[in-house]
Amino acid sequence: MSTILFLAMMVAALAVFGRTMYRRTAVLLKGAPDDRFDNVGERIQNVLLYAFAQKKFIQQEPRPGTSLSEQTAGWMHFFIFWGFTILAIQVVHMFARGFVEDFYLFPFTPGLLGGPYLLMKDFMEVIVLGCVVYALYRWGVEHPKRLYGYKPAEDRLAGQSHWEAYLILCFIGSIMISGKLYDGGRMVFEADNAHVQAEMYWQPFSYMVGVALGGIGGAGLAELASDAGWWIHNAIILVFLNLLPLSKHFHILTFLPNVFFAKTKPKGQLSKQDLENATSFGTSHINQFTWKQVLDMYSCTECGRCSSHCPATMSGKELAPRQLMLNLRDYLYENEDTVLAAKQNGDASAEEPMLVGENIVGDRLIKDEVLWACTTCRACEEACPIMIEYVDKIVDMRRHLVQEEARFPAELTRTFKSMETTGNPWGIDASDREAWAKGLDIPLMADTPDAEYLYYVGCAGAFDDRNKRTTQAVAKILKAAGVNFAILGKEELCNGETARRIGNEYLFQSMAEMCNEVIQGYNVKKILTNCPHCFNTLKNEFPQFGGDYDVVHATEFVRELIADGKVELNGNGAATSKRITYHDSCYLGRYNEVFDAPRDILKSVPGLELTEMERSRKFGMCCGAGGGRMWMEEDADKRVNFQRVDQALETKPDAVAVACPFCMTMIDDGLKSKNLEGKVDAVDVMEIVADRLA
Amino acid sequence: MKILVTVKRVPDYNAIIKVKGDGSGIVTENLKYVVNPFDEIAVEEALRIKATVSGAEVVLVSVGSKSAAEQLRTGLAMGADRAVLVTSDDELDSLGVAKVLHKVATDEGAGRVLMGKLAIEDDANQTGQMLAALLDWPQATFASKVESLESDEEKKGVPGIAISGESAQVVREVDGGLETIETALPAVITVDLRLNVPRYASLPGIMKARKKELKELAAGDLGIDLAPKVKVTKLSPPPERQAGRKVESVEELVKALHDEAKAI
Repeated sequence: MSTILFLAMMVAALAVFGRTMYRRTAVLLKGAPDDRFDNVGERIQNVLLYAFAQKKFIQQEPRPGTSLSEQTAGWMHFFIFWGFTILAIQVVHMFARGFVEDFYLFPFTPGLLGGPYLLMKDFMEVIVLGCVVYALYRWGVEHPKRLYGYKPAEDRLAGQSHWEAYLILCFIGSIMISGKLYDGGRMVFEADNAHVQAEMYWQPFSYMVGVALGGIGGAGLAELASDAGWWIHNAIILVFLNLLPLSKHFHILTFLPNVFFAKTKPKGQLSKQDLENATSFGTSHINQFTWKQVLDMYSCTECGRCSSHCPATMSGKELAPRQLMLNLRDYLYENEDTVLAAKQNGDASAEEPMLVGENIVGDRLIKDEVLWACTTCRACEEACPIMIEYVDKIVDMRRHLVQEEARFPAELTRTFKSMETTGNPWGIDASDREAWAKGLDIPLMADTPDAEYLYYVGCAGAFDDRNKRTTQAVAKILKAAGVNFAILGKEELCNGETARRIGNEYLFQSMAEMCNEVIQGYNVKKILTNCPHCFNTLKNEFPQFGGDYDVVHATEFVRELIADGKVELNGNGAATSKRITYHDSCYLGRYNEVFDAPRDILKSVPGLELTEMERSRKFGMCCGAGGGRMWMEEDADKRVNFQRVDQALETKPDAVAVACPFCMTMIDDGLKSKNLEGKVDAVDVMEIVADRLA
Repeated sequence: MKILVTVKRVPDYNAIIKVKGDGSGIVTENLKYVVNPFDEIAVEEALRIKATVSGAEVVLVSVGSKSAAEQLRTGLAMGADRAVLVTSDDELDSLGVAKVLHKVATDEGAGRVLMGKLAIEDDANQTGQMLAALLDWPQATFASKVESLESDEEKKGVPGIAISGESAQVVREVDGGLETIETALPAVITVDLRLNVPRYASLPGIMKARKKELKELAAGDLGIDLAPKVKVTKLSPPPERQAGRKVESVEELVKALHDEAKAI
């Protein structure tokens, strides 16, 4: 009788679960195509490192001991994850025992791995129980904003009831407890079963439960508790299973594929749109996302690590990556039927892909301001434990806004038009491009076409007065070290980075092509640049246009020069014995993992002390200028650079070092707004070096 | 209703203009060209008016070199319906251009002409007035509007020129303020800078513009006397600005302003 009841329960639960999963999978497969089957080796490595070893949960960044460290919560998750993974075998045992008495899954049979397995399981159940208590404490007592939502960007999440979290924690706790009752009870009322006898020695905690049960109510109670434990355990598992795809706990099923299919291309490479053959020029409808982007939506666990590092969220803007993801996910779920009914993208029978639901970009779901607030700093992606991608989605939606609706902050019109006509976002005549080099005797590519290095100055370094000083510093170092280099001078063109990040892919592609043409006009193999934005685009995006160069950032290059003894530094610079903090550029650091080169240079300067901000390296906070934000207005009370400067000032520096012209502008502006000019200045790493050439 | 809008090809306003050594013209090598910003505002206004009137057509016209087709395409990408390019290898004066526009407006049967109040390259500010005289139409020059360019009306794309029936209300920018006049239609309306913020062409707009009609005519074939009455004899660049200098005290500043600059 009970076997039939259990079978009916199981079949019903699995049938409902199967239907939900079928629909979720079908929706996913309706997504736009995206090749994520390359680089299998790297993908497997990612799975081992990030999925199984849970690297992002337990890593040393942000630094333990700082207020940002999430290591304790990370270990909690680590143990719950491994607890569940280990418990999976026991789940098979307990389900099978509804039909086959004393079932053991080979090789976890008594006498083989059974004993050691049970020992591990026994401890894990207790550890997981402890973790559940800690999680309940976090939800109920500690109340971290990261769990409950950051206002104002996450008002919707913050306003929601969080019963699901409690329910799931209770489920997990109950599964552990009922498992213990089942095992412990058996040890009393089935004490003569040889298998059970063997289990006693391997499961000290279960044994204690058994002893307690036996002591209180004898074999009768033990049997009752064990049976109840078995039913509760299995019933909760079945309910839990059905809850997964309907809740944030879907990640239990999707995290593995999500990590496996995560982006393996250079982090700084955005997709190249085929503008000649495209029927749409951006993402405006829920079924235009790629299948991987849908998988991202499924996988979001609402943990909020993304939002906790987002400069837009922190500065009170309307964007929070988690809320963005949840809004998309919920809208997708609401429209599941319509998505399933729509003709598939790329269907031969579908003249144009059917668009499902409303235009999500705008007032309906994702407000313009949300998209424009993003600095594309990628802190969210660095923080996400299961490698969800946010920046690409935001740029895809920006592409729709800019290219299809031509709707964007008014000030960007001038930026775009300047890029179109003068070939740089500053809108300054190209003939001024080499004004910084006047009187410095800097070789031009046109005169020395065989130069080993092309020094690509970039627009900021050529047109912005403050950054021209950095450019002159770089040139001074290169000349002092006898580097065989040349610049393009007036011929240089903007590579279009800003346009691409803003979503104007059309403008970007035409600029990148022209820029690449100029470079290819010479026999250039190695490019040196001090602008991380140019660096990233030349290095990671120009291969999309047939431009394959060995691109090196000035900090990496100068570090080599110092190591090779080609550049010698003294302690006599204008800024002797200074305490300096280094602000990481997102496109140099997070995107291209150049963290040490600028720090090594600073450390090698005699008499200079390097201090670190709490948010540094991988979790360095953006200056606020990335993603085209350099060219957009920002409310005075929500300025990212003001916050960043406050963080820098906490380290009591004499100067804030940068390695990016945009960071220079933002940090310099932030310091000046605090009337610190002359007291704490922004200074480029190259200026520090040039100042102290021996 | 057909709205004729002028689109003049002019050097980019960001460009540093250099005068040829002999003063016969400007150096055009590597010079980038754009739509005259005043004309761009006229195109925007025409498109906004079109959106409020059913059956309206916006026809662009440019007089100049064959390369002006590039600027006409820009206007088409913004949303104009078709374009006419009248090519002329000789430099025309304002009256010559007005005569060509007169011919095109008559042949097209245009009901309104919208144009920039001037072209930024020569700042002549004559063609609109001359065209009105040739057409014998009323004219409303320097069209502007009361609402600011940050206003909601502007963001919603409401036209600044109010057309009702066969008359138009035009807010004019005059010294020290704004003047509202009413003119009978058809009319020639020239526009000022604060009338609107021209739209940025969308990508579908750019793609569609490639296929829109762009009719080319030769000015010489129109049977008009285009011999210029005005001739540019010489261009000379403004004197180069001298670098400023820092003074130590207010006394020194006053002294310099008085003795050297003779400003006070």
